[in-house]
Amino acid sequence: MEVEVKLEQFQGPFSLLYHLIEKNKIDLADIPIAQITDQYLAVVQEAQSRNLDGMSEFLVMAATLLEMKSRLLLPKRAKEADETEEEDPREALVRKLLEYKKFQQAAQALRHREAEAALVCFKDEDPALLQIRQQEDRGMEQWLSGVTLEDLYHAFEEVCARQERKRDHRRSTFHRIQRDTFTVEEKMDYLRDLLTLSKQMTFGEIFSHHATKEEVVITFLALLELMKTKEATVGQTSPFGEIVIRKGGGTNEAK
Amino acid sequence: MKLNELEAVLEAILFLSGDAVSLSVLADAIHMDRATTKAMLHQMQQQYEQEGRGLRLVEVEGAYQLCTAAKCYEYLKTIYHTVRGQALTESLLETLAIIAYRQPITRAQVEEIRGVSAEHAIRKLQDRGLIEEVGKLDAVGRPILYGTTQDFLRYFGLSSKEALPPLEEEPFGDTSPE
Repeated sequence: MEVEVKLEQFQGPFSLLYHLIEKNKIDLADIPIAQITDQYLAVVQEAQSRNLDGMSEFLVMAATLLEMKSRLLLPKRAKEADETEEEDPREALVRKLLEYKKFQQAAQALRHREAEAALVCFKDEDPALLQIRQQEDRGMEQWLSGVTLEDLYHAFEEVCARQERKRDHRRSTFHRIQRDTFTVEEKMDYLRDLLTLSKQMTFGEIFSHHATKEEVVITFLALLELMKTKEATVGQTSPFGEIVIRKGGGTNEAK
Repeated sequence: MKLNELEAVLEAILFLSGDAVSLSVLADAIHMDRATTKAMLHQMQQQYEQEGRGLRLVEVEGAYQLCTAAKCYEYLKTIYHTVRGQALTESLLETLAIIAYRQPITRAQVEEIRGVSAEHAIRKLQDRGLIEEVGKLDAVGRPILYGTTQDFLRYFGLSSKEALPPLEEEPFGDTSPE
């Protein structure tokens, strides 16, 4: 038998059966089971010869069809008085086929909608607003239920991080009035004074608590200058350890 | 676009929220009853469309949200990476259709209709947030019942489950001998 279709094209046995029925222009009210079964089996056997996977359901249907075919070939038994007429086994199959077909068509309709709806974009929920909405009509217990300590910690961290980001470091340290700009010379004098007062100090100690990045850089440059003139020497006892600054034996430039 | 003051407030809320806002929350916000609010929203919905704006107002199960107009998609595509995911395969689509029209429904019942195993499809659909567990059937083994989610509605541009187009009945009809 000529096999024009391949099993893999079909979602399942119903799909294949329906295809065969339509192709043969078969009237569902009177399916020629023998003919259909033979065609169905031809497709299945062709796939089997290729060792195709996932054929179990197709094989179950093949067995069902064969059983139906053989049953229809048997002569009808004489009806007993109280026995109800057996349902034509094809009816159950037809019902299932029709049911399946309905959903296959529904799926196609959904496919259209999917394509149209794909052109519409939504904005994601804004996480910052989750707080506001959770406050509607709920008692404190209900509101806090399900909130773990870890959640609170993370929330706190997030708030701190946000605050950090928002803070303008330069402008928010106003409890000490300090000049915004520094010159290397000024800092060199500053370091000289410090070295005179205490013969040794660590790198961290030479900065004020609220030093801006600019100040740190300029101070560092000043230190390098002092090292150049040997007014200060610098050492480190271990890698990444504290940097120790000592007064050097170099010339002390007159102020 | 002329909006009255309250409609403007609604518009602002919907913009800020991003996600859908329920009718009751919106009504409370503008201190109006739900019927009036709903009428206002419907009016706004029409205005967005009639004026051909870049935004649309949609309703999903009694909640409202703003979204972009389909006609703008081609332009948006060039600027934003839209995380849409692949279109659904035939197998997933069929399984989804069965669940959508017959919900709540168990996996076994789906398999009965499809004629093939639905385990893989159901798992994938759950992963994509299109279906969810909605309960258990009161039968042996208490099998899980599945139903569609709100994201399912948005994915297909439906305002509610009732908005699903009706299933087409076969013209053949009943074939049982009487």
